[in-house]
Amino acid sequence: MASLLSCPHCGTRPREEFTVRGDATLIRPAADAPQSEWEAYVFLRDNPRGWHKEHWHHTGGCRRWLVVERHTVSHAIRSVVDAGMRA
Amino acid sequence: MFDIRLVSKAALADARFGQSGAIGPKGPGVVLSALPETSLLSLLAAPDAVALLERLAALATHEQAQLRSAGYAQWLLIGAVGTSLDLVAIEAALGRDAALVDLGHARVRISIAGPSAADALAKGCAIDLDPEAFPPGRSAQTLLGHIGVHLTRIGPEAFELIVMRSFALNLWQDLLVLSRAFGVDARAATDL
Ligand SMILES: [Zn+2]
Repeated sequence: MASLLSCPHCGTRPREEFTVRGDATLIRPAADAPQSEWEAYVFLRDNPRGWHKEHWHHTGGCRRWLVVERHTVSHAIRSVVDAGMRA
Repeated sequence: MFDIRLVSKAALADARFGQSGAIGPKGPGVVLSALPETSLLSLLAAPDAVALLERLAALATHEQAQLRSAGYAQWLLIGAVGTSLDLVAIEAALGRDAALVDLGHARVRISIAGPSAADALAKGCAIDLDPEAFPPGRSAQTLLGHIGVHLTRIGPEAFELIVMRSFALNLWQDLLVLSRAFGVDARAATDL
């Protein structure tokens, strides 16, 4: 397997078991926030080279949402935590 | 008048059974068995549930059912063959501490056993099946090829797969191919 990820609940699994949703650092605006803020939240994304926090879903395993701190060039992984349990 | 007559039929009724592949002098390396269809319940813990595992274990004993871990705060409860789980009693015992979904007609169980069972499974799944890493009693929700399966080691050389009903026949065919090199005896549920 070329690409592995360690799920905090299931252990090390191949990338095929996961679905990537993208940026985990976005903060949802208030319901009455200006339209420009909502546009940025829904549509505008950076494409970082280097360390990045992403939401990964363990679709083929425990089906929990995870926050993965991953290097976008080397795929090195610094941390994986359950999205519902991060401080 | 109905255009289609609904017929109750086992998911693996039309699967390919019998011996195939490279069966050596010691017999087939893999024995594949369609397991009888039983009641099966998915349980998901409420975030504030207390001591749920102990209560589920007691319920399983009471119902003569088998409890399998299915990921973080999730379990499967498998009813005994020929009986139905008492859903009303289980729901009353757990209250708001767990969400229950009856998967009895949505999942099919397959047994894969024999000296080469782990080797056959390892061709299609990324779980480390060494008995030290994956001992009897351990379960994992994972992929076998492209099919999602719930895998449990039942014994040193025996595993149980739980698969979505519509994938059961496809998985059975995949397991026959994965086992061909070891020789395989594929048995229908009625042969048990
Ligand atoms: Zn997982």
